[in-house]
Amino acid sequence: MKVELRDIRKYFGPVRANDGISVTFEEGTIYGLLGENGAGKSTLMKVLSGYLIPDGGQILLDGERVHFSVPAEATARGIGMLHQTPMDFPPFSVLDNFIYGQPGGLLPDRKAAREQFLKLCRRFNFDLSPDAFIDGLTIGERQQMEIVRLLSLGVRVLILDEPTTGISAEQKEILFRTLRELAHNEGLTIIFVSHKLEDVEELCDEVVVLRRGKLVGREKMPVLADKLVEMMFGQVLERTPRPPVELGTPVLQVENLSASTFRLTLEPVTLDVREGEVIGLAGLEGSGQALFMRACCGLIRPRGGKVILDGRDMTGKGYHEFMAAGVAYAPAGRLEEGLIAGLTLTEHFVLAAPSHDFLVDWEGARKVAQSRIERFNIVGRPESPVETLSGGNQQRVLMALMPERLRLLLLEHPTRGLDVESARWIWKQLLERRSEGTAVIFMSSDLDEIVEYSDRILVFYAGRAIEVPEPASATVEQLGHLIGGKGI
Amino acid sequence: MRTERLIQIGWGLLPVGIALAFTTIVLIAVNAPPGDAFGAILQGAFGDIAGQGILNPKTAAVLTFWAPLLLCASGLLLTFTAGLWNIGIEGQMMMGAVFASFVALNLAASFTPTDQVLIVRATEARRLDTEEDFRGFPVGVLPGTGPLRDYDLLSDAVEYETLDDAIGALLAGDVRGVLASQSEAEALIADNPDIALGLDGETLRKVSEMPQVPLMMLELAAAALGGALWGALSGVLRTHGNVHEIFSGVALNSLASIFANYLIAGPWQPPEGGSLHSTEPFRRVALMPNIVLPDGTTLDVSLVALVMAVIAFGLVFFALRGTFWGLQLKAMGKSERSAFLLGVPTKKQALLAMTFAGALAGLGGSIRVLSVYGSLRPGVSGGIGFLALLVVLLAAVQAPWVPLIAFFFAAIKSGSTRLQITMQLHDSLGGILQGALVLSFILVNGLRARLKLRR
Repeated sequence: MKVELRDIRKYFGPVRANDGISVTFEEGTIYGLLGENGAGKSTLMKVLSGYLIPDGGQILLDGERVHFSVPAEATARGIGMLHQTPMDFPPFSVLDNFIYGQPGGLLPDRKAAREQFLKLCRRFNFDLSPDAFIDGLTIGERQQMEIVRLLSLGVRVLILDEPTTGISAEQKEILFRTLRELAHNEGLTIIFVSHKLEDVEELCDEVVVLRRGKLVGREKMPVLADKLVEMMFGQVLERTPRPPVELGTPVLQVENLSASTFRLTLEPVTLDVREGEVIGLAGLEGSGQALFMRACCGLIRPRGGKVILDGRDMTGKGYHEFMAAGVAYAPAGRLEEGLIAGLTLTEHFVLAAPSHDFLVDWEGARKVAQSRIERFNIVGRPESPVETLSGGNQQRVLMALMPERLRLLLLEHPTRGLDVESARWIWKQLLERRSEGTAVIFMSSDLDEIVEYSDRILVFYAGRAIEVPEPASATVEQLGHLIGGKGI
Repeated sequence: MRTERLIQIGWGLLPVGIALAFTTIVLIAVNAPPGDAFGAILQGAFGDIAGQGILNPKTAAVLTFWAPLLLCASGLLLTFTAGLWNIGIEGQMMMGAVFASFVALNLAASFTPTDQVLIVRATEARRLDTEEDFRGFPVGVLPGTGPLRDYDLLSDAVEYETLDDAIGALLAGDVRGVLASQSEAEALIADNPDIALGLDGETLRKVSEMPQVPLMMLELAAAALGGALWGALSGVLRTHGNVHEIFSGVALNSLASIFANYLIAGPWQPPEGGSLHSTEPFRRVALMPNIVLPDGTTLDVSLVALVMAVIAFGLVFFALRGTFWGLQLKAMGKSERSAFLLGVPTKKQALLAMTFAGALAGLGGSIRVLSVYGSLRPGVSGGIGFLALLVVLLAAVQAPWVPLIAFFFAAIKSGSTRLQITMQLHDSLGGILQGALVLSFILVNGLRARLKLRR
């Protein structure tokens, strides 16, 4: 189906998320929609899929003007969107989720639905059990389920928002193969929203680039990566060389640490981390990295082993005692676990301050917030509610909230969903901390990030961890093999 | 800008309009003239303000209802801000009432047996068997017996030079009893068949009442403690037992009510026998003093209750706005997980919020027993805790609106009792109005959010 967007405008207060974008998507083609954070990609796609109502502009499908007030209307007209976080119902089974949203009245025909589901899965080589429960699936599998569901609804335009975040290399391969088949053999229009240049290079036939709410470029692939970066940011960014740091005394000593949840058991891990050392944790989502990090700072109780911090046995102590000892933890879900939606920046800084009085000096707090905002280059005001900030700025706030002197910093996906520039900035901060003697442990699904910044690398696979023997010469390919369970 | 403000106000008034319209339909359906009914509610709530002034018996009744409602609502502001659904507020109020009653019943006065006995006419001796029969007796005494108010049951004294004079007066009917020492009385009764022993020293006990101010302090402290314990229990179940406070709240409400009923029917039943309706009335000294107007009219509202409610609300307002603790509660309420990771001791603060809310509700309960009823009764909390939940929800957990909405609810509640008197309508009509108001408020807000989303 040919999609034509004409002069789409969408404003959020003073922010012009889409400032008159006109673009056409032809059928049978895979488009890469590129742009840095806040460029307006997600907004544009939400307008197209009926999640947002534009302030101005027109949507034409095969030349016919349409108007969506709810997403279901867009789906009925053949437009389906795959969200970054899958919009499914975790407590229910795959088949239940497949049936939701299907036309079928009060009593759905489960048997027919199951057959249709299995048929679609076979066609795309998806290994999904209709009776599995969503909360037991990986992000990649949930994506596959969602694709199958949308296709069964007769979708002719498929929008994917950052679909390669958090899925394995294998799943990515299957996904790309599926998308190519859908576009090139079945004539679907596919819009692939991403930050990741390599994914776009690998998959897309054409790229559409947005910057600050406007369309700035449209090219047939292949295009040089440098040129894409220039279109996205207006300039080519240099890689910052990592300053060498002398390692100090051991900060964290982990001895045979094991932990378990109902889903995963972390086999015993032993690791020493010294001042100024950066440890990268690689692995598929849910392989035990997060469990390990959380056990290292008292967020979950270890099942066995010891956690020693600066020579003190901290095993079994709570997170707040770790905090008092100079440990900080930055979770992946910024607005779910790190920041508090509904609170202003000033309120955040007051909450996180190392010391406080019974009464809050709001005037003084405002000034402190203002100075932090300037120091950390945050786009926002002291009285801005934190959820109104863009993802990159939220991550900056998270960094600004951390205490001055830290012994150990644990980060889940420090740059997930951030554009290249914001990610660079975050790492500049982290490397500064490192040179002050803070030990850093981070997990990431971006292998380039792991290779670039880690002094040592731990790869997790199904709850087991191994250390990469020669991290300095490790390559992404090497890690990719380890992550897939080869060599462990 | 100006029209925007008008639109804001319009949105705020819309639910009130819807609720009034709905209630009007109900009134028409039961064949009651709506104008008269609303008039009766207004009349019932505010009385004759023009003639009797702002503080008149009707507004006093509204304020008496308002004070515990505001106390409960203030407590709920803390728990709602912290993201806790303190449904147990009603039970916390009940426990406050029970604890205050314990002090009022047991500590207000202490009694000691005396060596004095009461001589009465033989014809009356048999009839005098309940304490009430002796109250207000004119009693003959010898000089130096001391003020009679020390004796629990006697009040009016007439002094006689000798015991024989007093007995003479008794037989002549000038007094109805004579106070004498045990040995003298025995000798007199043995000589004279016309007189008999009315009350012995055990019954004719000496009483010493506690001074009112410390007693009131003790009662209020006990009430706060009772409510706080009940609130803390709900809190501990949540933080350490993984029981959601809604469920524990419902259970603890029931338990508090059952416990109070048990006390009323069992250990605390009046000496003349359990009536199941209330404990024995508290001594006057144990009650919250009512406001007396300059012209001598006594209003059924206590300054203690009003001051307590206003101070409690002020403290809560200040705690939420100006203190670090308030900010921590707010953070927890918006995201417990994030707040914990930012260093907020979420369990401790949840427990504290529940405890404080319970204490305030307990104080609210004390008003019900020490000012409204003067005894402990079943259902003494009167659904005020639940009403406070509605008040805070209607205020959208915004503190400044709470006293106003609480007053509005109190006025409807108090005013609708008049419906029954003047129009033979059940006073639950007030409840219908309150319920319709909350529903239409939620409805309008939902509608607004939806419209906002569309734009």
